[in-house]
Amino acid sequence: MVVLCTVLAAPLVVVLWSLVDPAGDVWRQMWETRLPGMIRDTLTLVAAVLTGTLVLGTGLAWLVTAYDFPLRRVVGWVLVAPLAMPGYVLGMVWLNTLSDPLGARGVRSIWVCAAVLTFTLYPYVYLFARAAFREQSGHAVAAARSLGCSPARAFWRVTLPTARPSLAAGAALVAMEVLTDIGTVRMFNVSTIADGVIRVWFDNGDRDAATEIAVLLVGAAVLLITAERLLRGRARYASTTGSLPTPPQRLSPLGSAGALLAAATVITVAIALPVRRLVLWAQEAERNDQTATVAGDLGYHLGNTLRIAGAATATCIVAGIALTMVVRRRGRPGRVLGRLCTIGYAVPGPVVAIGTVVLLTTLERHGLLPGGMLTVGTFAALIYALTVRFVAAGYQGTDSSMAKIPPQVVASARTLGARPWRVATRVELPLARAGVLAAAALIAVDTVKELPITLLLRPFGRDTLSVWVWQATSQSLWSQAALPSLAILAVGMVPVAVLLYALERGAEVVS
Amino acid sequence: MERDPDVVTVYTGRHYGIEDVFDQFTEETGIKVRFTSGSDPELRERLVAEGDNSPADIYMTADAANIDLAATAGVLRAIDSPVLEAAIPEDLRSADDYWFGLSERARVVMYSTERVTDPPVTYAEVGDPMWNGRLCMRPSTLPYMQSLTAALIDQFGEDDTRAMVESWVANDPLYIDSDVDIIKAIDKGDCDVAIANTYYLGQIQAENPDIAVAISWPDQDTRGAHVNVSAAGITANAPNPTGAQQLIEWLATDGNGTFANSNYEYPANPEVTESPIVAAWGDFVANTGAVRRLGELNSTAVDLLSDAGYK
Amino acid sequence: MTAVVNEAAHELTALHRGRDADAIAAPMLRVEGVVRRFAGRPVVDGVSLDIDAGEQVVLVGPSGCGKSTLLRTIAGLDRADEGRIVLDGRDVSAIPAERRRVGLVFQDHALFGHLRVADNIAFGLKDLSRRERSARVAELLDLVQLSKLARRYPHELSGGEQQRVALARALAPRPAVVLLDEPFASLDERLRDELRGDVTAVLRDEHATALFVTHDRTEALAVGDRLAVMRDGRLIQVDRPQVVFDHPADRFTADFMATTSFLPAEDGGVYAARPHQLAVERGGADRVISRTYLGGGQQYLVRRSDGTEVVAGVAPDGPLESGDPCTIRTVATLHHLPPERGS
Repeated sequence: MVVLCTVLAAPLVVVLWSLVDPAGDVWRQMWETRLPGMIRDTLTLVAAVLTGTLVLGTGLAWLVTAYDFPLRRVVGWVLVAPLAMPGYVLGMVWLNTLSDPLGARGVRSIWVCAAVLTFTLYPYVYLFARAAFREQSGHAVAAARSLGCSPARAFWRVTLPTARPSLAAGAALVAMEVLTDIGTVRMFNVSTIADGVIRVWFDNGDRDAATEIAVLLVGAAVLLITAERLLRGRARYASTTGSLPTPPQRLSPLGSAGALLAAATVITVAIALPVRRLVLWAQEAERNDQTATVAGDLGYHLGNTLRIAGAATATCIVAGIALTMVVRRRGRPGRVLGRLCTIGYAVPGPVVAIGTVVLLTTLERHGLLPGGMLTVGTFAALIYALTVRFVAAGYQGTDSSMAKIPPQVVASARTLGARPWRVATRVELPLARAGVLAAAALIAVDTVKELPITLLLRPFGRDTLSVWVWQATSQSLWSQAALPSLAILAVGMVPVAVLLYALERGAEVVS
Repeated sequence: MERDPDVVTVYTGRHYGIEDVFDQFTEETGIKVRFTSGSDPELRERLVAEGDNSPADIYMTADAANIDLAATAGVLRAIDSPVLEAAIPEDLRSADDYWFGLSERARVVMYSTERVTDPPVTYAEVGDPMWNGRLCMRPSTLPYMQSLTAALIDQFGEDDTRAMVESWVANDPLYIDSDVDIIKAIDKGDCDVAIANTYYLGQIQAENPDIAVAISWPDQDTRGAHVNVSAAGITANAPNPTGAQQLIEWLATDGNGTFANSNYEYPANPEVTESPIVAAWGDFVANTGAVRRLGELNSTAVDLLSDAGYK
Repeated sequence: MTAVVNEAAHELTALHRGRDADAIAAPMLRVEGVVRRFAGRPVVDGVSLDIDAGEQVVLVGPSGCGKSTLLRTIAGLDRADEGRIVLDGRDVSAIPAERRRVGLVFQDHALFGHLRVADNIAFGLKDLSRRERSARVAELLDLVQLSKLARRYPHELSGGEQQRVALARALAPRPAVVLLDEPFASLDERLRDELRGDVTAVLRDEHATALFVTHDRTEALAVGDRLAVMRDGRLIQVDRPQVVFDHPADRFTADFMATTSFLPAEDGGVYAARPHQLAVERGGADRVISRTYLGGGQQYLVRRSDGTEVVAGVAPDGPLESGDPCTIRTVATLHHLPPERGS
């Protein structure tokens, strides 16, 4: 347990170690000039995106669970698709498409940035809310109706409050993504704390001060999670014993048209129009034969993306399962420790990357890395950093799925003579299969989209699709970024499909 | 780590068209080049962290300050090469032979040919109130802006430079994080005046010769327009220093034309002709004297930009 | 045919009450010819039922017979495709659930987990002033004997306590009728009996009109002033429990209410015999197949010489074993059922 945690948290500890020698000057200067603005921008952005994703995600989830209309199931699946859209791709498209109507100044605003992030992150809330609504007993709403609540009032007073833990979990995930975003915010001239970390680090060359600011981020994340747990209090929201949810209400043709229109609008804005623009750009790049400027081999980049995503996902899942196993034996303090070990998802990518670099090179200098394994520049080092960043999803997914397994099942297996390891592999894991699969899918999507860590730690000959996109966009060659962007989307759809499949099989995405 | 004498490993922050240049080198010499691209500072951090385990032979940057900071950080080694000393002018290389500039780019005032009849002729004039609301600028995160500021500090001192930057800020510039977009913005009418790198104009003119943007060479009566270099140096722990030196020497001589002209920059080697598009901009006075100091003045520049309220 | 049966049931009810059919006081709940279809198939197929104020009626039938759907339709959660629902003199057929003044109690109590017990009970009292609300909540808590648990959350209560809160919550706004959908099904047997008694007592104290739904025939007999048997969307028989038990309207009802043996009658119909109405004597052309001990005595499954199987509960010659030859004799007047259509 200790070993596992140390391994997972080490790069972050390394980064935090710099706190021992706080950098006074830069901090003071930042405080006077930039920090207040950064805090304000960050809070505004998080608040705006949370509002947007909660409204959009919850509303859409409600639409596909409470109502029946033609193509409802398909719509329910398609609405998850924007998970595969990286913020930096959607941002790039909107920046270019909207700069005409909004003006160059108008488009570079925190609100457009918030909108971009809302449309790429709402699927998290949508998934969590949908799961919660599906689980809810229809009887509670029926009882509320009989007690005088119109369907709308019943939604507000019963359905939503009961779904609160799920919505909070989705919101926490969204907040984390917004807090750690680097690429999208910069496009719109929004200076968040994460952006400040990078600036101080690279512009001021002051890694220590950068770390201090990064700690702010992690602190905010921990605060968020703790606050939500505390607010929950003693109230328990779980649905009651196995009763079915209310059957969806069939909508009139007009209502159905409205529902389909709403869903179509979201998909158009988040996927269809951007894809169209990307295709046009890709065709333009093809026409101008500009692919020579940036390494244009699709197969090569695609292969690397798949290799890295595959390896990182596998490692995260294995680490997550291992962590779950040891945590389950330790009760409550174990769970707290488990959460802390996986805090990597609250830290911006570049910070994780450099923590890893520093850690590994220090270890190697002291001869602690056998035979050149895990040295910086190796495939293993990259996978290690990605695991530190994303293991939380693997841990959460496995943990919450295992928590659903009735203790009697495990007890029976034990009394039949199986030792803990066998119980784990032959009983618990298969039962938690769907949850693990869902977690794996989420991690896969994240690693396909990931940029900062991949950029910094990729070995030679392992340029991915996201690196290709960066190479193009860093020179404003939008049309060249189009083809790899489309490829990222296409590849990302596969784990999204797997995710949907796992969810249909009863996976839980929330603890 | 391979110590293959036939491979040179490059960490490069300059990656526009670099693959073709390296391919040409391989064709001519048989030595293979493998490279990893990233941003200058991130690659520098990586070099520092990797220490003597680094597989990199060469560190190449898009900006002089960054490579100078690498030298200061101790990740480069001195190169003893008469070829390089002959090919590259003194101003464009480090005094102690740690790095050599390979191509020059100027960061200058650009303006709309349709709407502006008397563009600024100094960097200071960019801060004139007549340009209020008509200015496009790149954010301070860009190394080129930091280097420009450093050069101005070198020329005018901190106080005057700060006042200059403050006057830019007072004009409420539209911050756009891309020179290409800035130039296109001028063409479209979102702004009238900007400061940008010459080679981006070259890239755009290659596709669209009629773009309504032109260069106004600043400070021609004084020290000249700010120039920066894309430079390279050999890493302190290079596994293949011989091959590395060969590559850099080639880049400074036979390959210098391809290197610079493929990106509409000015070849650092005075004997190499620039590309027609670049030549069409005409001659200008260049402030090459500041290039060596860009690294040491970088942090002062960063602080100054922040103090002056420049985003 | 259905209409005739239902009309007959109605008349029968009135007669049993000793009142003239036309002079009955207006019922609290009148269900008139309600039809509800799903995918073209009628799940509730023309049901008519009257429940008087203060009456407790049990609706019993096998799973899938449509009883829950009927309940939902009465509650207003579904709309009837045909027919009317009149509640306390008001035609509520087109009125949505929230304005019908119907109370609901479910098998899974369906309490609001995010609210305390007191707030659950107070949920439907939004039109009252604060003081009135507190008073009514206190009154109900007292009624269900849960005053001490007002500040608890539902998950902190036992199953029986949860169900009592659910009842209190449903009764709080003084609904015209309370609908209970298998309210005791999720409890263990002892608790079930206890709670059943408590619930019916509370309903009586409140003079509440109630409609229970259950698939459990024992429960159906124990609760309620009248019993309605439902099958395939139709009401087969509506009467006092004793009458339904002793004089079932058809074979299905007879067999559903208790173990029944059918003996052929001369007119092509059958006699419905309960085990206590049949004796098994030693020796004869019939054969004992098996026997079961039921706490009060043995029941014998016997195959008669004509091949039919019956269950006998009386053994005047003493206990018999499997395989013993025997004779079946009736020891009471058997209930006769006429031939059924198509049988």
